[in-house]
Amino acid sequence: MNPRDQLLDPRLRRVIGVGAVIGVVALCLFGLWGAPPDDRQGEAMRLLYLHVPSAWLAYFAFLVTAIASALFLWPRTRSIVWDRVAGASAELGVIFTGLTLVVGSLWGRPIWGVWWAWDARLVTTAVLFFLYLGYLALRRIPGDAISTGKRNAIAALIAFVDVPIVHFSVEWWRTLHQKATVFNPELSARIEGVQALTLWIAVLAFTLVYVYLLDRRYRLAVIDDVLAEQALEQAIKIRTGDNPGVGR
Amino acid sequence: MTTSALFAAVVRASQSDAWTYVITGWLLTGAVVAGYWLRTRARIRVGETRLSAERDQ
Amino acid sequence: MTSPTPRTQPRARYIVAAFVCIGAVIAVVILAFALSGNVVYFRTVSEATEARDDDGRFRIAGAVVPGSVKTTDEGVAFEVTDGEETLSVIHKGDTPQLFEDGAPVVCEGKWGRGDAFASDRIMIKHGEDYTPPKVNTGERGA
Repeated sequence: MNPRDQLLDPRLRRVIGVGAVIGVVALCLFGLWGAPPDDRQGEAMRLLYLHVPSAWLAYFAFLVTAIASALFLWPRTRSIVWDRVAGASAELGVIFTGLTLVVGSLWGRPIWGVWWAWDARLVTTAVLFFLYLGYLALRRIPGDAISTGKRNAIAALIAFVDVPIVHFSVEWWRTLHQKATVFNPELSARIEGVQALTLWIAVLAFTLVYVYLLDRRYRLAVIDDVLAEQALEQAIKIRTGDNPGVGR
Repeated sequence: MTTSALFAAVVRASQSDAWTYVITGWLLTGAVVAGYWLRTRARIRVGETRLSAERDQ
Repeated sequence: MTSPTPRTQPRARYIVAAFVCIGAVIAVVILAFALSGNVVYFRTVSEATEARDDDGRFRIAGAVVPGSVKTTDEGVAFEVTDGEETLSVIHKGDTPQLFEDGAPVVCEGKWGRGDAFASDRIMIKHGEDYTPPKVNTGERGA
């Protein structure tokens, strides 16, 4: 019927689901209670335990979309599986980019004093959000599987150009946004102790949630494709006068 | 006038307590992720029901 | 695969998708345009004092000189420094919560009367370092 009905083995998916729940509970305990408030920012720092992993997942989800798109374009690995993975991952990437922007704004108001600043980091992130929103809209334009798949894949690879621009914007230009705390050019984390532990728990929990949701979104894409196929067959049968309701 | 005064009061009250921002951000994130998960799960269930119904025909 | 499949898709779907695409492109262009004027988000105090004849709006970044903050009728007046040059800022409006002696600030406004910078918006430039609160034990390095 389909090249791959399930992205992950259902048993593996359940393990990841349980892990994600444990991770989220641990994140709530550490992020809202266990970790101490920051010396200067105070309690507002607790928003960064959501903002940073959201941003990480946005990058990661779009990377997965880019890799899956490249695998679709490469004739030897071309499969509808990659097109579906690309679409599912991009949808999650858009959600996490949106969360990054909103949670960042909630942090910015008490710390910076403003909800929004037109600096390079914030603007390139907003561009990222709209680029992939456009990509998701492009995916909805119907057509035959191979040509739409190629078109989607090329669009995804073009949009991915913005990801490194977002990440390095704080190094290349002067921004109000701070530079990277963990993935800076020196690769020396400027966060320690329980705060660092909480951040790592957050990244792990978010990643598990992402993998679980990716599998679910993929499954939904398979179901939608099969249903659309069946509807099409039905329509053709009706048009050619072969009524499926007769002669069962 | 009253609306803007009220808004200013709300902003001032919330500005004094970082927890307001923290709780808003955490609740919002939880609602978005949980909402997406539940919606996807519901759509999968509906789709799978339709698939098995057509298979039974 | 050679001929397009006769789909019974409503035309509205194409139109909606096309509009969303166009909207996304427009949004990207507007954002890119807004960014072009803000690639350098702020000037240092030294850079600002070198370009005193600039009568447009811009932003200045520096640290609040400790002890220089004075409350005025409309806001605050203080001095800002980048370690080399120091400048007076007359600010109209509220200050952010973290505004204090030594705070790294970005002030938005333009040159006012005299040598002062007339600011109407202050933002705190937060760093990338995070530290737990210091436990006050009354002695150093406890």
